[in-house]
Amino acid sequence: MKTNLTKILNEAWRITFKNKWLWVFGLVLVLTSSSGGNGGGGGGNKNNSNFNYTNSYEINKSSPFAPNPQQLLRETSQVLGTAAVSIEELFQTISPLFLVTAGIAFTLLLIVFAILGLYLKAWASSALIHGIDQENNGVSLGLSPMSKLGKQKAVEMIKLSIIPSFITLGVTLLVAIPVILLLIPEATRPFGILLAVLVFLVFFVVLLFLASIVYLGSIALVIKNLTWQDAFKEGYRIITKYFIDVILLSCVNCLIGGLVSMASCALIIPIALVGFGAALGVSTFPPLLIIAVPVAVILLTAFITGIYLVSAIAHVFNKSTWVILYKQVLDLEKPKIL
Amino acid sequence: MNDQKNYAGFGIRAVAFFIDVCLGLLGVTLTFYLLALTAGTNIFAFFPNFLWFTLYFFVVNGLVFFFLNPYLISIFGGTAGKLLTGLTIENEDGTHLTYKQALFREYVAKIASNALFGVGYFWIFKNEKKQTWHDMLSDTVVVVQSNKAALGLITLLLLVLIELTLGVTGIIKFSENKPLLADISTLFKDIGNSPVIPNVPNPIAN
Repeated sequence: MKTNLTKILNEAWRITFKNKWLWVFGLVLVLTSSSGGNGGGGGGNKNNSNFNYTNSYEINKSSPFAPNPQQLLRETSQVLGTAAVSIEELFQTISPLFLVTAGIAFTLLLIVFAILGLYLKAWASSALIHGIDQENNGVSLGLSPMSKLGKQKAVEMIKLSIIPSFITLGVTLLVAIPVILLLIPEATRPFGILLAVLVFLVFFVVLLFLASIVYLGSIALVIKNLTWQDAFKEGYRIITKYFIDVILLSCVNCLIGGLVSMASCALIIPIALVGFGAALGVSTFPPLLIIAVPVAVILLTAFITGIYLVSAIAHVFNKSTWVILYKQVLDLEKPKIL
Repeated sequence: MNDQKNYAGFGIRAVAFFIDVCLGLLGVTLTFYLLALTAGTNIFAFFPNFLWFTLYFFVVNGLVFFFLNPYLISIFGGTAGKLLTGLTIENEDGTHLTYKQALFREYVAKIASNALFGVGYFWIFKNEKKQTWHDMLSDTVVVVQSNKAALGLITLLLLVLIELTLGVTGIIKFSENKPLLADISTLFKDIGNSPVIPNVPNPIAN
């Protein structure tokens, strides 16, 4: 451990609560950060049963549920009666011109939203790093100077977050796809499963490593005024040279993040109690609804505000720890004048 | 020089904001009214028009204003609402915003103001230049060029009246179109009450 973790945490705490303008960027980052839950649905495993599909089709040929698309379509229309015919006819009234216009309009909308989201995140992130850096130097900045630097660095920040990710994902997929294709015949054997888990783990570690490089690189990009390529190299250098420090700080931040989430969840308890009391009161004396509804709205608003604010502050604290870690690293590497 | 500027307060800016909102909705209520007028008496004539209306409502209207508002700000110094109330958005040195600056102010900086139920808008009361968070983030101020609050209020009132008239007339037109309503309700009833028994003979086919 080459950096001073206690000093990092103390200074991050001081910065977070000294300059409250930083919270504005924290709020923007909370709004733009994805919720992360990619709920992929699991498909059934066809290999673990001896069910004979051909035979089952032969058996059920006369059944209305047989896997014959034309038969299904005919019988579905019979089940739905006139409605199915009407819906089919309704969709036939859609002109190709409408489809083309809708396609263009939705594509344009998606592009606009994607660009806006990327820019927003890059701008807020750069502005926040600059604000934390200056606060650490003893200069409290307002919204305007932070935003100005955020705007200057946003494009380079977008490049840093997109280009290496695309390259790495592309290379990883190029390696992973042949391995997966090789694995398919072995999928039911223990060796195949083990190898699949291993591939998944490698993929996960590569992504985590890449995300860490980009995260530290983004700090270097703002503080040292680097291009995205140099920032990426700098991120890689810091991770490999100060691996223990980075892992330790990640663990501490995860722990703090978990505690903050638990504290946020704890906010639900008093609100739920009040809500339960109000529902009980309304059920026994209905005119109380006049008071209960505004109280519920106020409580909900306060709850959402509280959660957002706590998340924003946690975001600023988290970013501050990494900025200070990076600055400590830079101090350590400064040539000592004897 | 800054002391001579008459910075716009919360009230007049709110009027300008609501005029912009009403102008944004004007196209929607107008197309809704046209949809009601041209609905026809059966669902097959109505459906294509309904699709065009939905597309306009959700996508086209939004996209048009997305690009139009920054253009108006960069060329004339304000959105339609601001210009009608006599306000201009300008840089702190008094110059007009560029298109990029206006785009940033309207769609990036305003997200910060909208966070926490619009707390950034109420910063007008705390700031000596009456700046909101999005003004501070984009280095802009909103100045009263010529106080047209009365004109703004009348315009707002007129717009609300027009939209209410169009909306209510459209709804009445739809409610009077009995054949179309019967068509739609039959379709929904057929979908909802379809018997889940296979091989039921199709009355139309027979």
